[in-house]
Amino acid sequence: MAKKTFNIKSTLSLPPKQLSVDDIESAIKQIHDAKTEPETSAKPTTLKEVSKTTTKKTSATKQPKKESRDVVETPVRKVRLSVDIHPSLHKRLKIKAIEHDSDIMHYVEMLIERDLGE
Amino acid sequence: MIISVTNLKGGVGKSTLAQNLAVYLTQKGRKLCIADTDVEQQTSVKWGSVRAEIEDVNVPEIPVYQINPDTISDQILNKLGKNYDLVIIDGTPALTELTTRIIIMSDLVVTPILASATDVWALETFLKRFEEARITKEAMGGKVELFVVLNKYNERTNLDREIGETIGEMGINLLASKISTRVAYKEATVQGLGIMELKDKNAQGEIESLATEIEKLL
Ligand SMILES: Nc1ncnc2c1ncn2[C@@H]1O[C@H](COP(=O)(O)OP(=O)(O)O)[C@@H](O)[C@H]1O
Ligand SMILES: [Mg+2]
Repeated sequence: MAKKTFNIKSTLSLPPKQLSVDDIESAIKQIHDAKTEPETSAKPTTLKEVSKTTTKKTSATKQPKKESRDVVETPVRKVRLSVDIHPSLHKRLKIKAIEHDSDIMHYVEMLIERDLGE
Repeated sequence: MIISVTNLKGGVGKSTLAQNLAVYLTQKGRKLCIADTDVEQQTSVKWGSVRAEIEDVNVPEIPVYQINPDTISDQILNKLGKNYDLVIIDGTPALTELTTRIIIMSDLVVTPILASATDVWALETFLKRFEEARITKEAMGGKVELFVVLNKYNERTNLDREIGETIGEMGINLLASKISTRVAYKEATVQGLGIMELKDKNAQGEIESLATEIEKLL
């Protein structure tokens, strides 16, 4: 008995179908159903290539001008947290940090860690 | 193949990215056109007209079509789709039926957003519509995928980085390429050019990276 051949190709998914205009219309109906949307102003009725011109391109006559400044890449860093707080709160925080013999950054980090229980 | 650059928000860079992708991919030898669906602004249509006036062999014309919202499917599928390898749709900033139509027609949706909370909220709304459209399309045997790209991104700003991370955590496909705020993007638009035709090497790197990522998805 010959071995049964297994056609692997037939198990692969078929390429997606290109929808026709009718398919699209029925899909639109399904989605938009009865709800009628105010369609934006129906403008031109013919398909015309707007940019078409007869100008012949001959030589590199026009040199487009340049150029904008660079954005310098920055290295990977720690996550920075910035918070806007009231000046009076900031003042109290500064005092409290100093009382803890610390700076605001480390003091806030400590408070957060304490509150999050880590 | 149809790529749409769309989002329900305006001013997020849909037109800017559509134009820059078009220039880059044209340089790479793709026969493409832009379909401008934003009937109010017509940014790409205007860009295309400015571009068409440039007499420079290094600035090939890119056809830009003004699309009529009522017959968009027919126009894009039957007329443009047959003449171009790639149609880049410059999307409309609304959540209308036109938006659904654009999603369903596309093979790939690229959604630019700015790194702001309001953009993330708008993205959530947009994604709901996308999901509906995707499911409907898949039920009919079609396929469409969405990828978000951060525009006007500033790596040095905490909020921007956090938003980038949050989108990733939301399970949304986020393109690794990010587009920074650069004067060159504005300059390119008004001059009818793409970044690849200007001199800003950093901006060029961004567009090259974005287009390469997108090409791999096609
Ligand atoms: N990365 C960027 N850097 C600087 N300006 C940008 C950038 N992306 C878009 N812009 C500018 O922002 C404005 C809106 O962009 P646009 O592409 O027209 O958005 P949309 O098509 O989504 O409405 C334009 O003035 C454009 O030049
Ligand atoms: Mg636009």
